[in-house]
Amino acid sequence: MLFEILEIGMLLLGLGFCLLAGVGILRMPDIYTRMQASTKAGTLGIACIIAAVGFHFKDAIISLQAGLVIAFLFLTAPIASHLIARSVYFFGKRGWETGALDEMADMYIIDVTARSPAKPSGDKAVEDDRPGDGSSSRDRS
Amino acid sequence: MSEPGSMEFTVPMTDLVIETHDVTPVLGLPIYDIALVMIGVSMLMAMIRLLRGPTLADRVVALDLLAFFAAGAISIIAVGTNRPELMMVAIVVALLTFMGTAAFALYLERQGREAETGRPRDAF
Repeated sequence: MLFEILEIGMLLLGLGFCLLAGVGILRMPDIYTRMQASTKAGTLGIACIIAAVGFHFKDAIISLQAGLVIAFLFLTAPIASHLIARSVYFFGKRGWETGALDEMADMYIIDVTARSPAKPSGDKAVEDDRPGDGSSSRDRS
Repeated sequence: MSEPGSMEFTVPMTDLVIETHDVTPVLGLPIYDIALVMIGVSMLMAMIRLLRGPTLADRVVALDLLAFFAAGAISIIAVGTNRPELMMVAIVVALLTFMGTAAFALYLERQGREAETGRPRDAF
């Protein structure tokens, strides 16, 4: 009885988080906010659902497999979202429509053209570093 | 017919026996039906973002979330049809998602660098 109540609670909690992740990825205005909603809420929701499944089968092997799924999700989801956010920040859309704070701008010198011998023009890099223009050079070209 | 909620039938011209199960109720509630419907709604929303995402990165994020939801749906189906061996499939999906997303992130980075510098990047 206790396990069933725990299972139903975990399942409903996980479904709520999954719905929040879906709404977040559909309705958020920006790639970074969408990624935040999908990664945090999605990972927690799926972890709760798989924990509920592990509570349902009262078996050691199945519970171990459920724990493995949860461990893999919690290990890999932050790394994957970090990789995507990093590549998007460095080489993609840098201007935020809704954000006002860019803490990473002081940590890295983001000038891709400085690393390349074929330097295009200086105006493009200056224009890219201005926050809030909402367009990337990939969209312009 | 072994269990009250299950049904089995043979595929014609083969020896294959397919066994179907009803969805397992918990405390008398068919909550795994509801769970499958709700996670299907979430997958539909991620699918909309996958189809109309403005950039490639949006589509990669939506695909990542869609694979997470697929792992959750597989585990829900494992409970609903009373087949616990489907949890291994959920493990494989959860691992392969990371590979795909990391490969897409490297591809995005290389594509952005090619667009910025006008020449392909040397090597990783």
